[in-house]
Amino acid sequence: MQRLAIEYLIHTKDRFSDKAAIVDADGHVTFAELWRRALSLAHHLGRAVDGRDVPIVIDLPKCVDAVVALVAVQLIGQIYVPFDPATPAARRRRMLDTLGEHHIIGRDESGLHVDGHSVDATATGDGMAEERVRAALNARNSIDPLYIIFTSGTTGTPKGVTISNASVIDYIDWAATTYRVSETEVIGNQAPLFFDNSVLDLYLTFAKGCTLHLIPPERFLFLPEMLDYLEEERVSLIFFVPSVFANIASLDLLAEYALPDLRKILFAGEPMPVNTLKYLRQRLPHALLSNLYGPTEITVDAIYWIFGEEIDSLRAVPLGVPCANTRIIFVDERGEPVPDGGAHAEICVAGAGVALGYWNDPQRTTEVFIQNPEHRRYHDIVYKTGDLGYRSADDGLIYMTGRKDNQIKHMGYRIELEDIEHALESLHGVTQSAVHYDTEHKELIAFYCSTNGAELSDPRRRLAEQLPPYMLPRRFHLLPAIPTTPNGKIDRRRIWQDYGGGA
Amino acid sequence: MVAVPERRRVNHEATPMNRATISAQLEDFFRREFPNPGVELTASTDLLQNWLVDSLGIVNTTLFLESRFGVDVTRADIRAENFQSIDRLTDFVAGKLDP
Repeated sequence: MQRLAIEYLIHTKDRFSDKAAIVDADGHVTFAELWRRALSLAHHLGRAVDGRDVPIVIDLPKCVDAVVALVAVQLIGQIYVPFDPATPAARRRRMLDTLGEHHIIGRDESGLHVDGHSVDATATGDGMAEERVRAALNARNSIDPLYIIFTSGTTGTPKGVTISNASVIDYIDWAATTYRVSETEVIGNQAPLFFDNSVLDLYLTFAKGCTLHLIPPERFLFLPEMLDYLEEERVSLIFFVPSVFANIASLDLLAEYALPDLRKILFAGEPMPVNTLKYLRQRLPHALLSNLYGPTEITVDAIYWIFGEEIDSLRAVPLGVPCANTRIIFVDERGEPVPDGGAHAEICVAGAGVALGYWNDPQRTTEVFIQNPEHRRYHDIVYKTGDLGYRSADDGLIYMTGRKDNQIKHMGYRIELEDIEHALESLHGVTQSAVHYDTEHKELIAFYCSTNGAELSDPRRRLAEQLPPYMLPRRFHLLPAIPTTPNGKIDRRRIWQDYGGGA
Repeated sequence: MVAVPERRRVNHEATPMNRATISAQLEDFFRREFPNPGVELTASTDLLQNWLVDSLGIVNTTLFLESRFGVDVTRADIRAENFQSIDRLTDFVAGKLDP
């Protein structure tokens, strides 16, 4: 019986030893090389790290080294934490504070380093001895944490979602079966490692012996370069955010690409526009199209749907039906269960994917990981997603209608608008702010007041010192006052009504 | 079913445009669509630094080139070298209009 996610690779590294496992812009590693390099890094890492359940930050861009690092962390029996290397210093500090005791794997011109010390993590370096690996793995079990992924928080401090080995194994076994993944699959990765969609790409590769292409992020800026990549490398499976497909559809780029090898197209991270879905079906009629849904807190995905003939008549894109070992519960504003949900019912997820909570944050954990409101007979934790939705009486599928708070999805990134407002209000002179997401133009727009009514100079650059690039507002509008509701809260709807269009 | 978007094309054959006009219209577009108060924008400014930071920016710029100048943008055209600066975009549009 499989206990740890790393066991996938323990099997495939021998079965597919000479096959390309991970490909990046600089080349590739075979399964055997990946294993040897991970053993080599683990040898150094094991000396630096002491204790149980120690988070090891992977402070690397998406590349072969980063995959080597997350394997090495598992070999020494610790928890990996993928970071966005573009995270500004102050935000990074808050994330490291949340982790508590930790170590960092980084890289410079001379190669990988651990806590700032250069290490030899090549395939020919000294490797961690087999009996020590066995001892480290034997000390862990399936409910021990595998990774921590940070996600935007309303207080301005990101939350560290902590996911167990068991949850990932359950998810990957489901995905491999559902999408009939075998070693013939060539997977094209879009998601950065700090975004959990990458968990599907990585662990399907480890589990089945696929080849995983880490498509260079800059190719996603000029989409024909990304499509060239899929064409040249004969990629067969992709799991991208819908924004990528919406942009491809806007320019009708698939008129110039046939992509006969691309057989499986999966998407998640934000709502899929219905016209984009129809466009994909029309241009790539041979490909399987599947929508997936799930916040990081329930291990990548909890709901999915594989589209069939019904695409032509769809008026909205369904989330679908629960994945295996997952149950969806709807609750109303008072927290009472409502059988099939409704416009104001919150989607809650129960099952094998539910996270271990937020790292070092019991308070925010108990707010959203709650006892199943349907009963009190035993300890049964469900995650409150904050997404609103219902199960349709017509087709039995689950649909999402919106959010109960101010969380938005921008290019697939999950952002709490308050997180941006905290950063904005820390700028000198800003007294109050409200950030709006214009879903039509896909733009973040900041409204703010200042002490002397003066406009901020160069606000984007100043905010870039605090926020990752995808959280930077596109436009800034100085207001004499921020409208409030009778009970004193920011009146977000009125701001947009009064100042949105013509501002 | 009209899932495939109709890309708007304007026929500008009757009014040939000079480089200065194209460049000015591009600059106006970037100031409007990608406001960056306090940051200098000239014809040689690197647009990939502060302006065209995501694929949506590239898409919107491409749609603007097609609708404003009536040029036909293909897969080989949507590349970093053409979008680097207003100067490069101007070269690209001028080349398409007067091959």
